Amino acid sequence: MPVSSELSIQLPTGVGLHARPAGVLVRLASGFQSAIQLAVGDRRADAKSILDVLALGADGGTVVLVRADGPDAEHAVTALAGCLRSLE
Amino acid sequence: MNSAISNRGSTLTTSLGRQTVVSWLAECATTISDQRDYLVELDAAIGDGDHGTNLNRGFEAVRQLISNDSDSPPGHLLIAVGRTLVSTVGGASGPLWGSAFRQMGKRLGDSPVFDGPALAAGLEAGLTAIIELGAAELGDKTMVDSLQPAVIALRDGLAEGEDLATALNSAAQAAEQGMRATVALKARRGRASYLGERSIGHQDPGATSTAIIIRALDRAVAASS
Repeated sequence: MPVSSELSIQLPTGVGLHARPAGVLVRLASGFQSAIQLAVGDRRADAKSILDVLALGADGGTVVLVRADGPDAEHAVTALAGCLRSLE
Repeated sequence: MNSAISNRGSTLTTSLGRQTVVSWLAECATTISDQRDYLVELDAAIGDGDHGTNLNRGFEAVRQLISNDSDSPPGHLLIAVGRTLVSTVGGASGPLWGSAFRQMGKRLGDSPVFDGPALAAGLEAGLTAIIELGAAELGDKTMVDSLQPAVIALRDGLAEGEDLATALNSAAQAAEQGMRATVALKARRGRASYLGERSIGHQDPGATSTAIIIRALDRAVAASS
């Protein structure tokens, strides 16, 4: 039964979704079955695509909405939110 | 990955499989062997001068691997290539290329065949591994400077309906352009970053071997279609 789940997370100050943090997030996202989207304002990115996530250009302190749709949506959002909060 | 199916039909006319990967790897081994001294020379200027030798050793081992393996599906073969590169290439490029091939292989999975969009997704998974492990981004004067533009060109070309051979040629050109653009950059990652300003004016060896590997893919697919 597909479900959706979402959560807004503020990135830690000074740590954006670039280079290693983006790579870590994409690899984590790729392990879930659900479709996962990140949104900053009206810009969106497929959380499983490094090109998309890098193009989002989310800098430290930005609020990122994580949304997942699929069988493991809730688990995916919890994991990704944890990852985003603890970026360093 | 299901987007592969909903994508343009033209990309599906090229059937890619184990033989494509074998030709790509053989082309990599040949070109890297031919360019070994050039890569050594580039690396001697801003690194420790062993990039050509290391990578050549790795791809000679890959050549052995493909001659001893006759039936692995393409994804499994790429995972084995990753393992081989990690254990035979020294320096930073062993783990970097090792994880890239491994992730590419995991993305292709167990299927005996794949199409253009699946290949693009595989290369993007390889790029993710390199970015994660190397902590580099565009402009740092690393292999990312040629790989990322190549993956973008391939993805966008296919999305615009180009056939795979055309999109891969654009990808190889984008990689070569990114490679040449590293000359003007100051290294911010890897061994060359110790040189700071003195790294400016030299082409990055990692970006160069990456462009060679993407051009090898273009040639392998062009020869098989």
